[in-house]
Amino acid sequence: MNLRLLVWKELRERPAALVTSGLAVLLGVAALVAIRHVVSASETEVGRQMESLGANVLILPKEATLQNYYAADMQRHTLPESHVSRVLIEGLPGVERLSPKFSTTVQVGERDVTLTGILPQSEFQASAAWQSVSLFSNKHVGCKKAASSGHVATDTSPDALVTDRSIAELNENEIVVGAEVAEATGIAAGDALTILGEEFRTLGVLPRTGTVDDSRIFAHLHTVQRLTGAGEVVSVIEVLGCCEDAAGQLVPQLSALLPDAKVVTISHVVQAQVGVNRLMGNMSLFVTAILVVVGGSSVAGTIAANVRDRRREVGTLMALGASPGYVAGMFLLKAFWVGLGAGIVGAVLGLVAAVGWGPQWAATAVEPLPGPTIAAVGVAVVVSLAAAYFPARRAAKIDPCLCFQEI
Amino acid sequence: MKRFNTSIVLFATLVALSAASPGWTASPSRAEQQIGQAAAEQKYAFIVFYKKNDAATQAVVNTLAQGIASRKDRAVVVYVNVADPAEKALVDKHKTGRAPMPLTLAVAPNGAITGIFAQKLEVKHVDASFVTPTTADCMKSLQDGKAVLLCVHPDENGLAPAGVKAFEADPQFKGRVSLVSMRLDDRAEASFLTELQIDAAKTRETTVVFMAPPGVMVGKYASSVTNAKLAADLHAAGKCCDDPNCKHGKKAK
Repeated sequence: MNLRLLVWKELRERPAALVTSGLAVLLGVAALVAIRHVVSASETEVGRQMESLGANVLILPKEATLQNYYAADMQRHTLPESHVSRVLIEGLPGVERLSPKFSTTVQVGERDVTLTGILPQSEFQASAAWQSVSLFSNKHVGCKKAASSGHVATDTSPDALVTDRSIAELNENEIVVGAEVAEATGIAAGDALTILGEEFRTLGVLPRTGTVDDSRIFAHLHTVQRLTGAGEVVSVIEVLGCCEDAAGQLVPQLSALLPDAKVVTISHVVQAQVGVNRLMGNMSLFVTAILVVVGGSSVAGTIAANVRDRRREVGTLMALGASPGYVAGMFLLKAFWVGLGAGIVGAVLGLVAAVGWGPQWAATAVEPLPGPTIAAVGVAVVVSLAAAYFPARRAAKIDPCLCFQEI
Repeated sequence: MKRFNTSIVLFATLVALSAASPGWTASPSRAEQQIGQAAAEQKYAFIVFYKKNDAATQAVVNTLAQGIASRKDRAVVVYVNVADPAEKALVDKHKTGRAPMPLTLAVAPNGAITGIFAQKLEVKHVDASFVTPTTADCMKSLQDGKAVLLCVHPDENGLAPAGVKAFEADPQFKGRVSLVSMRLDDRAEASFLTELQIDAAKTRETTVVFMAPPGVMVGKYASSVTNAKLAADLHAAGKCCDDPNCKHGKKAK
């Protein structure tokens, strides 16, 4: 009988002790893996939002609270639509485009869908004239207006809603459908769809974005206002800035211009999420500490008890010629298997929890990360081995005569 | 009786056909007529768009009366109720239906909008809306989506520099550039020269000022400027600042 077989038989003979010793390690690893995955996905999402939306500013009703940039318009509070014109008239440097939105929930078939009213950029062409009025009155400071040489190629497809957060053209009887709604209802470009008693033509289907935009139907702002009887109001005005510097300068200017509104940058929006991420990052360190202390104590206690219980067998083995290293190796190998088994099962549980519930916690899809998963399993094995080291050393020092004394 | 009915049907058909024909246009509204009349008389039109005759509207009316009191031969005030169906075409043209009210637009005789003021109006705003004829020409071109090459000549013999003519003829920009000229010693344009920071006393040759829509000062050049330099600077003006993350900077790379 070799060492591995001996340890295997021992583990099989005492499964309760195995589960007890491994449970704390298993739970610690599961929590560690789940938290690291959610934090990592959330940090990636925050980084992506900062990169793609860093130059953007949101104008919201004063009472609005905001956790998710993409869901900024899903609030019951509203602003007057005339604020859009006020921003345009002011001719503030750094303002590239404006995208006002107003959203409501409608039923399409059996499904509740967010109908979002947006203004196409063609609606702003007449007001482009207003900007030249400030050519001589507003001296450019910092980020300036971008000149148009008259032949700038702009994306006129509905996909621009995803890439540029605005659309060039949208007639009052047209809609653009989010990927998830299109999949669920089978709507395709060119199809007719009746919403709130009015028939619309589908201009296009947006590519999947992984945001709440996937579950929206976009229509002309004035049509949505008319159909819902909401009046000339919007839920949010998205100001697409030229660069992050411009966004920073725009906040105080817009706040002064629109005192009844709340003006926030994407940094403000993600600040709360960054705080949560930091908290969860600290929590993962706390969980690691618990894994080391509680898991280690559990393994150490189990191995120590095992050594006490098996004193006669250890003495017999040593009397038969087993070296102290062989005996210590036997207990360490047992601890290794406990740590590895608990680590692997815990990592799988943590992964399942993160991928399954992560989107609710972090508002983004969670992808499995091999690095933190393997590291967590490694920590479990090291903790188990370290915890078993002293009991194993004590076992190696057992006097073989002890077994004869008891007989 | 039968002949009478036939006449009515024939008349109605003719009216319907004429209304449906592409060349048919509605007659100008009262406000449009007033604006047209002002332009014909080389006067500015201050159009006040309003929804309610409330305190804010009255304040604007009073300020306007004060502002143009000394310029009655140069300006008229036109009032437009945005809810009036007869004025829908004018409201739609300027997209003022959903603007903050009252809204005042200052329109120069050439049709350029030289001032736009939401809700509040001060006498200094009215004063600033009266611009020089060349400023109005430049603004009109910019508002029509055209770049402006303004040649400021030291005397009456000044000609547009070769680079400017070449740029105007360049197929890439043809039809999208307006050439405007003015003289350094034109007293009526003194305020515009100050805005452009051109010192008449120190300038001995034609200066070229390049502006691009929607309202960007591309640059000022000596008469030796080349077509290539103007084209390069116009493209570079798309890059709005030195921020390496600027969207326009990224496009320009």
